Amino acid sequence: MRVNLSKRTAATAITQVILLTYSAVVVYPMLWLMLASLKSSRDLFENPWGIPAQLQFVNFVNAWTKAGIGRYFINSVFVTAVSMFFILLIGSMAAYALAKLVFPGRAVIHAGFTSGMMFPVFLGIVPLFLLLRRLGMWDNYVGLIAAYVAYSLSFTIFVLTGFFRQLPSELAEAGLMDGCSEYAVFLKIMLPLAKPGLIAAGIFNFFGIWNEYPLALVIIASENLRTLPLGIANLLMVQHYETDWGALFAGLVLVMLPSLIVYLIFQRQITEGLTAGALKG
Amino acid sequence: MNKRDKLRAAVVFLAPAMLLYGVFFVLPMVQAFYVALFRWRGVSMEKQFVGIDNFRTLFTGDPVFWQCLSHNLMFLIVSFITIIPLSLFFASVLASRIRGADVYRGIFLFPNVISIVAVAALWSFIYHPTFGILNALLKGIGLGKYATGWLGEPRYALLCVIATSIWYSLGFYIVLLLAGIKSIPTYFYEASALDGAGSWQSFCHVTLPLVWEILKLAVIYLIIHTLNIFGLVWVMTEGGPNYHTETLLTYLYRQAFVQSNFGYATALGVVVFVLILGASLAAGRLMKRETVEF
Repeated sequence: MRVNLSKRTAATAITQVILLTYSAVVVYPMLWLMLASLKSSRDLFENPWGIPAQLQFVNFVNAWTKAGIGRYFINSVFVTAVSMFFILLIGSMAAYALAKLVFPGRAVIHAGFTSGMMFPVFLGIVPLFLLLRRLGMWDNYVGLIAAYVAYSLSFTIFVLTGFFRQLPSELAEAGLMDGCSEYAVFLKIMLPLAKPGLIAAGIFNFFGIWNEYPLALVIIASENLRTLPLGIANLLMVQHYETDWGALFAGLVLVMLPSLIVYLIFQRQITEGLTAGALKG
Repeated sequence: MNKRDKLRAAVVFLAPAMLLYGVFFVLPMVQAFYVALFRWRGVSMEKQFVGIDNFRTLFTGDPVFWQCLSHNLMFLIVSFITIIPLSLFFASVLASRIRGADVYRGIFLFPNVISIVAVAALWSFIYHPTFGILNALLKGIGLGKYATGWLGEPRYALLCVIATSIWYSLGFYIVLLLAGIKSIPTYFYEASALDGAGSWQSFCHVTLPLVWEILKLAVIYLIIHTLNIFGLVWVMTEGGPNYHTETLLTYLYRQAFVQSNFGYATALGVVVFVLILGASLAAGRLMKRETVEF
């Protein structure tokens, strides 16, 4: 028995070492990035490992103003906010109808939306590009946001329909009895009750759009319209001898920071949401 | 409220979603199958119907296509042999209520929520020939002679990008399998412990069969993810050096938006779609076995 116990303790200790090691593999590069974002270029080359010789907060100022990160950041905030507003509004309206209203063709329409999740972004990317150009929606935010909303509806409607189905229909019927219109019932009774679903869909759409790269790359060409991922990728790809490394690192910290904050706030919903869909489906 | 009002409400609620989804998602996806049949050069916007010529060229006249396919396969194989065992191991360990399990889970999943562009940039610096921490690490432990240009080296570039992709996605698979393992009722483990099973035996005879359906799902996700690799490669290497990391989708992007071969690129998109569908169905079929209900 004693042998067994010490064997188990040893196994636990080894497991802990493995877990700590992999945690370091995940965390260390990001920690290194934080430190690098506070170093001067010279410090970076002479001392890639250590703590900055002198904290160069000026890197963040340079990133924000000179490298254009400030502009890209504001662009990203705008595109993400507007896209999310329309995705959640339009998505929840459709999901409500599909979950709670009875009409012919309901199942077919629901299947039409959810099966969209099977299609890879790149399958339709050339026709989408040609379509946006023809409509004068290429290289502007109307086109980018329309594409983001359209590409996000499948998943959003899938998630929200699930939430609306769980809500008791009696509440809606009571509202109708009291003389509310179908629209008022949706806005004033059902939508507030579906808040957990809106939060779940909102989180995943936030990450999806804040981090999105390929569609933005195809739809946006003008330098002043670049979103943060586009701007960073560009800074990285055109780097040359005069590249201000500190500013580039600071820019990377700025693109990761909002994700980190949202992740820390909603960690429970994220881990649950990530798997709930997969496990049920 | 009568039937007609109900129908009208349904139309009002559904119209915006159906319009946007129909025009900017369904239409392009459907058009892809049509555009793929044309020789369509961007500059002049001239298009000429060529039937299945684009597909024939892809399969028989374009060595780069096969090169890309082999790189995606490499992505899939290396990811499979590392991610599946590692995620099963980490998920089983974290499910066993080891101290700090929630914190570890939170750390492991984090790379998955940062922008793929940021991940690509971060790892480009890790592999950087002059100030990258990989070379610094090698020098630090006396293996300085192995320090190299990593992403610039045809021999290492693809594996370097694959390693980055594994770092990025491992957490997702851990969390997926962890949820599966946690949903196994504890009395299965109690029963196997009573029968004298060690932890390896109970892993083989309880965990593995009961988490099989989730494992199947993980394999299908792996196929989808590795055939859809784009941003990581495009930002880290742009497919280089000399096509050594080019994948199906970076090649599609290059054909469409660098060389303006819209028809050819779209044919490639159709091939990738069919590949993903076919491979996922095949994986589902191959991993089919009696599901254990509990």
